[in-house]
Amino acid sequence: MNILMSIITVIYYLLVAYTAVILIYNLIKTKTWEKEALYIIVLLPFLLRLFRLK
Amino acid sequence: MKGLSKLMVVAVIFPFLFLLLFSSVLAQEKAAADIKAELPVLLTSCGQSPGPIQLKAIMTVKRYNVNIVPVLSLFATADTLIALKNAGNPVKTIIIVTGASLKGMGAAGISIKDELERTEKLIAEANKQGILVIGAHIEGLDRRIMGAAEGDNSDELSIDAVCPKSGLLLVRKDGNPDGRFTTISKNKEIPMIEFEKNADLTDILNNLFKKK
Amino acid sequence: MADNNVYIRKIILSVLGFLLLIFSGISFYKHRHLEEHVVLGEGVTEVKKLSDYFDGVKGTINDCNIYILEGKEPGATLFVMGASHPEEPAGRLAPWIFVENGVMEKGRLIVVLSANRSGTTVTRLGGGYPPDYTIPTGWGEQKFRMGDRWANPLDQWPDPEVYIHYPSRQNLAYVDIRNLNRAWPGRPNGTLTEKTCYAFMELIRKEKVDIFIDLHEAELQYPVISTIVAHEKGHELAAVVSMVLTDMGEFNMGMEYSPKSLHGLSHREVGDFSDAISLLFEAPEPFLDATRGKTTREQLLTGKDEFIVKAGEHGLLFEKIDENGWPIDVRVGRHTSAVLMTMEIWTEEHPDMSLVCINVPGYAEVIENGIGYYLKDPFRANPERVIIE
Repeated sequence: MNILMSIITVIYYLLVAYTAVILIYNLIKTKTWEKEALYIIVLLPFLLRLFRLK
Repeated sequence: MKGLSKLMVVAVIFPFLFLLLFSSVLAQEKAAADIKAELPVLLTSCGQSPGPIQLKAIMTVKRYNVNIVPVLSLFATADTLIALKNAGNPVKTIIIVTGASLKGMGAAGISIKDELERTEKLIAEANKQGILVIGAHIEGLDRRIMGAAEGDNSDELSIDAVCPKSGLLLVRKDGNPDGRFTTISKNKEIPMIEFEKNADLTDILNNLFKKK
Repeated sequence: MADNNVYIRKIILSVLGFLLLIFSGISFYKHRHLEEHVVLGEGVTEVKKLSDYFDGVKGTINDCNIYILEGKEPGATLFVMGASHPEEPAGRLAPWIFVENGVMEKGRLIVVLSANRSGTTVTRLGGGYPPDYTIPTGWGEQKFRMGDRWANPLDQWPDPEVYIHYPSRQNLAYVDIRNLNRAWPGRPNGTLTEKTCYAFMELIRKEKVDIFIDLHEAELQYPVISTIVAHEKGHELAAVVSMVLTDMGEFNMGMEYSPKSLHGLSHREVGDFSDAISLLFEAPEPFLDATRGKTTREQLLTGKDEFIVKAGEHGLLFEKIDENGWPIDVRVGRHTSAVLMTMEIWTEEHPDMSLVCINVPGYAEVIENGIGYYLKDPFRANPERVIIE
């Protein structure tokens, strides 16, 4: 079970990183300031988890 | 003159009413003090609160100096009384501790309805065998208003199932702020012993089960 | 020109976001790594690690300190556990007072201050909880980590859809797989939380613990409050402790049975899987109530909250509250008194297996002097007697 949990954890962190990259990409591409602010707010918890801060 | 006669009526009636009330309370207390219970005593619950465990502890641990060994049967039924009688060890007194515990009933997989049915049959058998039934409420407001969720009246149902059918009531004062037990005692003419602290039960139980 | 404006706007917003990330990140990092000092009282004879009992937790964040206070004379062994739920600070500060002040005259006391150490490094996600709180003392202030009910997801992840408790196979809420008080008795090859519980079970068995006490706090809207939850082996002990404490008139203490069919909780499983009597003490903590107002350090320490008072006026609470709230001193005092009373009652019934502890304040003393009075200055203490918790 622990091995399975470790594998899922690695996949989970890869997903978090992937989502963060997508959010940053969308932040760069979008033209409206509301969406830019939204992407930044949504991005924060992903980065906090990715850097293992929260 | 008219005013004077009214005053006289008041002067006569009020002391009379006061005396009547006071004497009824006194009579209840005296009647309660006169009641003697016999051993063996069976401790049970209506509502599965930990009250019987507390009462048993008062009877058995050194601190309280009561030294009575009760028969503890949290789920005692009419059959329990019959079985004890047939075994040559008939119960002489039953103390039923009222107050419901959802943890207690949940753990046993029963509801308050089951408890009320069991208690009704238990009291009926006790009456048949001439056993003194003592209704007790010893956990204060934890087993009344304060300890119950909104809409949960299981504490009150357990009180109704036991107290009006008892021969004596044992009530901790902080569980009777609304006079609920006092009303039952008066209306049903059941003697009641009210006490402030659990430690007071030492004297009450020693007096009740006075060794001859 | 328009593109330039967009780029400038993106840069400004990104910088703002980055600043938010930096400030929150620093706050979270400092919380997770805040060093709490414990000054060992003269009664502490040995400090072990949890991994001394089960090496499966060695090197993990949950390899907490085990404080042992060996009595001058032999007697029973009492194990007092704090921070099973680290968001309940009185359950952690009360044993802290025992470690820094207590001296066992008879018997042995084992104390844990951070049972779920991982849970002391995080607060409820999205809850806006304060990361720490400070207790004023005669020598300054002592800062403590505020914690969570569950282990930090950085230390144990992922959570399942449904948590199946071992060994009962009872289905519990998914998040409770990180709840130390839903993982007893644990297993050696389980999750971090299960391994931690298993390690504590090994401690209880190897040290031949006679009484186990798990200190908690509860919201006022929860029916199991201001009470002792007792395994059947401890019914009589709990009954007398609750009655004597209530009779003393300082505070009301109830008693509840530990349900046989509710698994994973210490009051059930420790009693079932060891020879110890298992008890769980609950004190009131308005901070935990869902209907609370501001979630601040002040509310955490004073226990004052007008919204909860309002809930009380509507009969929605299982414990009283007024404008005086439930200050931390009162909550800690309840626990120290209850533990001391447990020792006293046990000793009355088992004079050959006594538990006698001195120098630990009871309810009235803690309220009169404040908790800070009993916390020692780590910078003036002998460095060899200072431990990082």
